[in-house]
Amino acid sequence: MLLAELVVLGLAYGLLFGVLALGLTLIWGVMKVVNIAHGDFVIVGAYSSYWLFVLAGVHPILSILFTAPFGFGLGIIVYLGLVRRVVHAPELMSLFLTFGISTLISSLLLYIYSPNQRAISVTFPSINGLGVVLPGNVAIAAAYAVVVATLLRIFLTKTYWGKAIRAVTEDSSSALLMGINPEAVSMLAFGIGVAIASSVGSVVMLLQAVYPTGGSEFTLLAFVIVVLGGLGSPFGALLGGIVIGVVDNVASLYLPAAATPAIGFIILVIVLIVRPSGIMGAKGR
Amino acid sequence: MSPLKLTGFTLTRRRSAEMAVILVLLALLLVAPTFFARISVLFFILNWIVLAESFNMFAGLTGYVNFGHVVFYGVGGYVSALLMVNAHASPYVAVIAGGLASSLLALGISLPTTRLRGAYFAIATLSINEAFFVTFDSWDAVGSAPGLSLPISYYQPVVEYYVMVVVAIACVLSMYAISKSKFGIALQAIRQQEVTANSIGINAAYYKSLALVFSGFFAGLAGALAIWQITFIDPPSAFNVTITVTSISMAMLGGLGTVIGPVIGGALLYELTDLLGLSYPFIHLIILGVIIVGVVLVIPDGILGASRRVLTKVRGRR
Amino acid sequence: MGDLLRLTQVAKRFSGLEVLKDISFEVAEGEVLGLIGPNGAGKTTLFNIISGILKPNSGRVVFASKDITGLPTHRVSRLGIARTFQIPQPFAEMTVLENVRATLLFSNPRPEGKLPRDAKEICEMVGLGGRLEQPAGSLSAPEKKRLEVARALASSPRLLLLDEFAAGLTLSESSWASEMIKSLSKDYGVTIVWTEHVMKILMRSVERVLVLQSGEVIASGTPAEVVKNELVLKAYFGGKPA
Repeated sequence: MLLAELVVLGLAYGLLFGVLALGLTLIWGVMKVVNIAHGDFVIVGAYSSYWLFVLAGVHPILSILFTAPFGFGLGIIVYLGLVRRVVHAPELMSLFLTFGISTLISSLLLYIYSPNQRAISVTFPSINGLGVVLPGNVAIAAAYAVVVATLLRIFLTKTYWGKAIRAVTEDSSSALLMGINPEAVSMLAFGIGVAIASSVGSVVMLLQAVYPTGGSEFTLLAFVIVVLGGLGSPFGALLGGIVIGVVDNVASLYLPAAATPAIGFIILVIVLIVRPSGIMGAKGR
Repeated sequence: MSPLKLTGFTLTRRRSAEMAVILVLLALLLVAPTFFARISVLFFILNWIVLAESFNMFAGLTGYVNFGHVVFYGVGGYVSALLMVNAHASPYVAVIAGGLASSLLALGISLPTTRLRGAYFAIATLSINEAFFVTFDSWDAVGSAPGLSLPISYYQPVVEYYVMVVVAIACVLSMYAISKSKFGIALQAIRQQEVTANSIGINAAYYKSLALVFSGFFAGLAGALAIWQITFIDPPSAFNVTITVTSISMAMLGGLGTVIGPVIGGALLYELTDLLGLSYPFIHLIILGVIIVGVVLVIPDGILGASRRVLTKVRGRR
Repeated sequence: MGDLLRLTQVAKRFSGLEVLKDISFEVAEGEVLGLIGPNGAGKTTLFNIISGILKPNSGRVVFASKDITGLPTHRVSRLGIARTFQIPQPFAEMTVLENVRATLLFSNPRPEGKLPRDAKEICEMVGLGGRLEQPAGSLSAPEKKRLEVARALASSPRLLLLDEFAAGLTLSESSWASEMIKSLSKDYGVTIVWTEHVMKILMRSVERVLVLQSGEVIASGTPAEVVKNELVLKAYFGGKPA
């Protein structure tokens, strides 16, 4: 049952991708900024976990306790120092800015850690059920994703700041009238977005090797998912992640290995063309 | 700088001073090979200027960012290299074919993407680069990973230099002509308010495609010329994201949307990318990142725009 | 047929939500038609469909005996339909004069058109003669509305769509607007469809009114007839007479 196995694998990966996309969509929803550096924050988290493991023997899953708050702080610093100043500028400027931040992060990592790939070997026992085998590491990644998605859901629906984020996402002008401080909400959303990206990085360390310039792949992946699920919709992001995860894994069964990176591009173009409502509906500029 | 003020153009003293500077620079470029030994330095400065200006031709005029700019450079390089290696074509034919191939590619990319607004367009172009890199890296007919080398007989540095000069002048003049034409006005209108542009009868999708075709043509020429000079091409050098990053920082530093800005940015940043790039491979990338971020935050209209603002302020005070 | 514009059973849905249901009406050449309805009645959606920004899910839009349903905006514009936006959308970095000149450059002049083809003259016509060299982005809100009209006129329209034109204008501004609209129709032969959710000014200036509510035409007639219509009273004033 190779196909069934790939579907389960795709589901698990899809949950993780979906959570990654959640971070991107949260930021977009609140401040209409596409964070091109999103994937680079994943790499920052992955490198942090790598070094914590190599130097101090900290397990990647445990290192989330560091990478999540670290990412949150980093996000707030980046927001206050840089992003805040382009929120009301033409969209072109915010694209250039986050592209510049992406370049900065990846080139700093290149300079400090060289272009070499980094990987660690930690294996969890695989899970057997109904004739399907799921590698343990992937199952842990999926479990992480479920936990984050649940926490985020509770945060967004039950707490004041979570509700404020949703209010600003839905209608920023009436949120302003309700006395919500948009600056604080933006800062919080950016912090959470980067915290998610950076903690996903820790989990990624369980699944694959990383290298300094690998961030753009994660940015693209998150963006494909977000477009598929509808910009600004957290549920859509999760669903989109699962769809992409399954399609990507199943397609690898039928397509040559060399075509795999092109799959993302093809899916993106198809999604962009087939879902013009989501594209034209969103006020682009 | 408003192309709508075409009437009332007078040759003021400032204009004639500008013209004099430009003529002296052009004359220097033409006689440079007679006294300057490292002609390849000038060649690559001009090559970068063409890359930055061709990026500007689309992004600066339409307000859309093409993060896949290097793809035009790479495809232009590959098409001309293949023609020279496999068909022993004349280098002139190969260079022009490289430019045309890239403009055709630009047309192909623009058809599905000019319907996309703002960020969607930018992200769609982000994904193009990887797709091209992987395709060329595994495609045996184009040399795959090992790449292609030109026969040594093609190497004619001085001829290459003069062709480069001609292409660079053509590129800057095209940008000037476009920004002063009806086409340029359409692009300005699209950049400032696309919905309104459409509603006054401007076919925005068509003009955006056309701008991308021009951008692709010149970037393709730059790629083809670079390959003629370097005599070697492989996927990592042809589809190197650093080239896009560099073009963007040059155009932005000089002044996005202006004619001369990318020329200034290209000339200023060349030493940095060339010298630093060779001896400290990643530091120049860090600096480029700092430049992009810094320009966005401090002088979003670039050196040219900022100095114009300062000048008007100084004049106003007098 | 003297109809310049004819809509037949136009319907539009946004992700399942019916914004326009089965809209049919026609506008005679030279007429000034008022289109009133509360916010969210579908007025702007209707204009977006006529001007080609949106495609209807079903129904036809016929302009000057030509089916223009789903035609791209720029082509609709060149056929002679101009519009103003509820929230003015000028080319902010261009001056007032450049905004109008750019429009003239891309418009398709009609040989029988009476509207001026000179940018300055058009600006003076809408009272922006003193603002010619000012960047459009720095105009006051009422001035931006005037620029909307100037731009629309520069594209030599046979049909002019005015979207919430008087909204947000002072009393004197809006009486200027209604004079202007009357003159456009009388002196320059421009056919006009004018939407508004505030009825007062509109009712004094138009010959015929359509009332739109929740995506349906619930009444039509002269202003005097419409204000007596029970459905309209109910929709607009919650049942109480005005």
